[in-house]
Amino acid sequence: MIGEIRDALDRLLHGEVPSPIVPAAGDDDDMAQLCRVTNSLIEAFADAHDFVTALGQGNLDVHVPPRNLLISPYKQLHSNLRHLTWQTQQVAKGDLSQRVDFLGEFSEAFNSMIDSLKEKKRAEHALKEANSKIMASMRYARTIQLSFLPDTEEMGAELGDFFFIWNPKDIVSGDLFFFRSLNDGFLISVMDCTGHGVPGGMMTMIAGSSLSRVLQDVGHDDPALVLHELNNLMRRSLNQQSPEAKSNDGLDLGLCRVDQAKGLLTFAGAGIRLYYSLHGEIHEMKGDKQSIGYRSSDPEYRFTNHSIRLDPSMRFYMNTDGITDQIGGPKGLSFGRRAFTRLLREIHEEPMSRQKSILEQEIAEYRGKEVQLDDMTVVGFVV
Amino acid sequence: MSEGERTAYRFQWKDLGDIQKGRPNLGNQTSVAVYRLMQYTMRDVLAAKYSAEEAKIVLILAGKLAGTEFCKNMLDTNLEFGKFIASLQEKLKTLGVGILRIEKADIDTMEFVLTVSEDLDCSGLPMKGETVCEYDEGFIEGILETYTNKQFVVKEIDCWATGDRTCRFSARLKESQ
Ligand SMILES: [Zn+2]
Repeated sequence: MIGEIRDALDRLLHGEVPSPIVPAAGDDDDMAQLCRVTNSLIEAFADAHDFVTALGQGNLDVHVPPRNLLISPYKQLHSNLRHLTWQTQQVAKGDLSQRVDFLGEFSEAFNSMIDSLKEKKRAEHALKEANSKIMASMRYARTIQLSFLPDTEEMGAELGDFFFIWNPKDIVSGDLFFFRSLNDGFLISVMDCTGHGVPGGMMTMIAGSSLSRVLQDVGHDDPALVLHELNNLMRRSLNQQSPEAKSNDGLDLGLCRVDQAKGLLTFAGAGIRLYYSLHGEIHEMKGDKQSIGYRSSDPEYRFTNHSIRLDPSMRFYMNTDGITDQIGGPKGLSFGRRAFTRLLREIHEEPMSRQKSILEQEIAEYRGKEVQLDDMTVVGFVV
Repeated sequence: MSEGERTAYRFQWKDLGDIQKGRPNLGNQTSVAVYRLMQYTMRDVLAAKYSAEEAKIVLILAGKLAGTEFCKNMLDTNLEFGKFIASLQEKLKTLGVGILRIEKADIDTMEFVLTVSEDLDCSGLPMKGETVCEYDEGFIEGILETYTNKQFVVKEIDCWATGDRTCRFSARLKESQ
């Protein structure tokens, strides 16, 4: 019996779990007691072994043997780990009121993590607030900009049929279009200012009022002259005529003067072209490559007038490069001028409102999941 | 109705008196030994006069009354659960009652497992082979019931007095609900 007990203890010391010892019939009391105590030790060790092994593997749902003194410190560790798991879950759910008390360096690490999360939350909140203020002021800026766009009723009264697409990349746009009815016809213009968003929007206000000012000064009969004057006025307004100028902003613009009495349309362009349909084909007036108002824009530059005799079947289009430069399609290439012209050829006989929705749909489809790169404007009209 | 017949408790938080005024020099603190001296002599007398079982029941009920009043007077029961526990943990720490740690909290089934380390009642007690924190069981019951408005059963699973170095409690809803 003593031998069996010695073997059992020896195996316990080697981390093995021996089978219980069966007391022999003739054993005295002392021996029976020794046998019983040894068996309890084996049992306690077996329980402890399973528990500590599971704990070592990170299994915190393990059954915790009650009343087993061999594992008291491990139970404490187990309890602390479960507690930390719970607290971390609370933090993950966004509860930053949790603190870890009296767990040495871990408490410090955990609590400072909470503090930095709180700091981050505060910063996030401040950012959100700032953002919502900015967005509110942007939306108001958009309201102002919208009231700066032409009155569609006025356009409708003057034009046979028309549409416009004015689709800013951001809330406010760097694109603008302009319409003015005259005694014997009208003026229509599309402008694409540097940038988009707020700076673009500010540029459109300067460009729009400068155009009005120039029309007042030189009249509306010579679009090329209007562009020349606008170029110089913009350079002066933005202080870009001096070589030390810090800014370098300007715009592209296409301007049509329609004279109903003479049956004539005169176009001058600065980086923007005029498309028109005639006998089922789409033609272009390219305009000049010179942009307006930039430091690099030549103040002496003379723009060119292009005139064309009006025919009731003709349709006219001007656009900003936001459409033709838009990335998309299976290869991630820009939409391109050729595709735009081809599309106009296909749809130009449709009613203007239908043309608008086809154009919008085609562009959206081409863009797919790509972001809109720039403001998009298209104006189409029938005289 | 005479004193002996009433069933409703009459304890009020103000019965604790104005400690600042009453102990201008000795202040709010006392020793843990004194606290335990009162509790364990009371327990012993109760057990001798009635029975050990009866003594346990009285301690649970007293703890529960204490937990209820503590929750009403010292805690904000409008907080959501995580924040409520965090504030309870903080209170128990600053008052030197014990270090509360939640191990498990299932709000849907209302099952909780929590531990109290360095417990005021039993930490460092010699081994007795049975749990001794009946007062704490009641105290936790009182707090949970006041916070949730539901009835709970709290059992101490592990205790210093059973050699476990921390007191672990399980709490679940009373069966009859
Ligand atoms: Zn205990």
